[in-house]
Amino acid sequence: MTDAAIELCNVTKSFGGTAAVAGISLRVEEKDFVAFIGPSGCGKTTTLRLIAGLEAPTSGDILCRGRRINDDRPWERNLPLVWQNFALFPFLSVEQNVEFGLRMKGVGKAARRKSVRQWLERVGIAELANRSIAELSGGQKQRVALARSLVTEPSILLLDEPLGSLDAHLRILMQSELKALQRALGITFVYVTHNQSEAFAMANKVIIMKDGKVQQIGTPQEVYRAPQNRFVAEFVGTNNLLTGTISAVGDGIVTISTGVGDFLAPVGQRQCLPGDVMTLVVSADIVTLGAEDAMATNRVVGHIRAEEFIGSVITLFLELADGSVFRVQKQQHEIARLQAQFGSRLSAHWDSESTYLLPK
Amino acid sequence: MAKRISEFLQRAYVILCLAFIFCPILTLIVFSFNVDRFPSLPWRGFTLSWYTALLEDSTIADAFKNTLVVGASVAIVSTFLGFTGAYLDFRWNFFWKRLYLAVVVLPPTLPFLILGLALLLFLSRMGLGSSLIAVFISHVVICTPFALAITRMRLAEMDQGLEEAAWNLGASEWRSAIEVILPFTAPAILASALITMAVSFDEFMIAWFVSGLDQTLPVKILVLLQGQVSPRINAIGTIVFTISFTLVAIAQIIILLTRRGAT
Repeated sequence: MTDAAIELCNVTKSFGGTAAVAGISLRVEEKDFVAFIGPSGCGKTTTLRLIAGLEAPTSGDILCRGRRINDDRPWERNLPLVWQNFALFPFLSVEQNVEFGLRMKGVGKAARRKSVRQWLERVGIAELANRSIAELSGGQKQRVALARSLVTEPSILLLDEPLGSLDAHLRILMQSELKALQRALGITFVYVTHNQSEAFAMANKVIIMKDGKVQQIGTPQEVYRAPQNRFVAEFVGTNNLLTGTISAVGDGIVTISTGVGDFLAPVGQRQCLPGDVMTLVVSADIVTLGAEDAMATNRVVGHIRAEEFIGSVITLFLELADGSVFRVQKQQHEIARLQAQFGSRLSAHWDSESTYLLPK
Repeated sequence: MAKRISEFLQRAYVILCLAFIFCPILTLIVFSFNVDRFPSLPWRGFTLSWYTALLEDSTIADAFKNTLVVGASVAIVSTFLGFTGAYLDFRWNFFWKRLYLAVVVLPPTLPFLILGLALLLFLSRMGLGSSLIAVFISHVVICTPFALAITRMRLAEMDQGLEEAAWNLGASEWRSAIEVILPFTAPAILASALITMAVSFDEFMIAWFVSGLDQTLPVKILVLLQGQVSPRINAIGTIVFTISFTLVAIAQIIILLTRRGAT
């Protein structure tokens, strides 16, 4: 197996008594765009700081292209980081900020100037070279931070929620620019974010973390359609989790009895026995809505308690018989056709093939 | 309407307080230009003779030189010590840090009469008593806390991530201290130098205790006062006041300008 760009071998990091990172092992391959996502405090930023050398691991090894870099100080590793609040030097101009890394390497003035101009043009702010940092907008600062990290031509770039301080539409714009940049440069990006859609839009590999441990690693599609455990199923996308007991086992299909009904589910690779407690995962976007009395297998009935708009997609929150909430995601025009109101009772049904089971 | 009157009264009150404080100094300055030997009215005439008289007295010139030398040296050493202390506080956490900082900033809070006596006893034991060196050491002790406080205030405005960003871009700890910390705190360092120089320049009590034959200007002024009443003292006082005032004013302007522009 070829050396990974970055490899973590059973790395832990404890602060005082608490483990921010509790034993993680993973590989980031060359040219990957890897995104770490997870709730606040899951250890994703600590992991990034460990890779950059800003924290030292309590145990475990960090390797860069097969070489153990635990003992390399931050300035000895060529792993530039793009910071969430940019961390631009306020007493230097844009050009002086961008050339900083080259100056630390001892590159001559003429060569520095040339590189800086090239990169400023590349990120689209060539005209701002002599401006002071205070005069820049958030988006411009972000580009300066990017140019500053890339000017030393690293093969691996670390990014800590770099789009966090930008407004919504600028974020979307920068997402596609970052993705295109990564592809064009052919370098590895290690990206940390708490924003799922951002991670899924840009990364070819997603690493989901919780409480300092890796929950799942996979492509965005894999993680979205096949969460490996309950946490990932709850964290990613909009899933409904119905816990129940297996009541019947058939040929590739089982019946699971839950508090809101009995449903069919494909058994996949699992070994299921009657009596096993399992969780049925029904993604909100595979559900069809119908009138209260519509007949179908795999059906729940509830009344509309709330709705949420995200652009053209509406998420309806149905309250079921046992008080639990069932979410349905549909296009705005489909919901309009139902002419439903708050409190209306609707039925939601789905195809069992699009669902799957998780162990409790 | 009541608000306008209230504002006016408040302003008048502040102006009166300041006038009360500065009146003696103003009198000092005004009468340094009076022909009359005693500070009395009516005004006899304008003259610069008391100022020129200063130039003719070599002991005054020596005292002035001593004050300048001590002031400049104290400024340099105190600013350096204050900066390193502030950076220590900014960067590291250690078990007894709070206690250490409390002790370091203690000196200016102690009554100088007591401090002067204590320093005289201590420095004499070390063979350094009654000399300009003793004044220099004593002034460093009382001026460093000012430098530390000013520099620390500026460092508190700095984004902690800037140092990490410098490390991340290839600057070692020493290099990033020079490339990032120093430029950022430069205004505070300059302000510290100016204020510590002003404090040392003006300082009388401790210098009175620990200086020997080589006197600083404030000490010399007391000697002159005890000897004779002469507007030469007014002239000296005016010069000392102007220098101190200018130093402190420039330092304040620097601090105010950089506070507003801090990013």
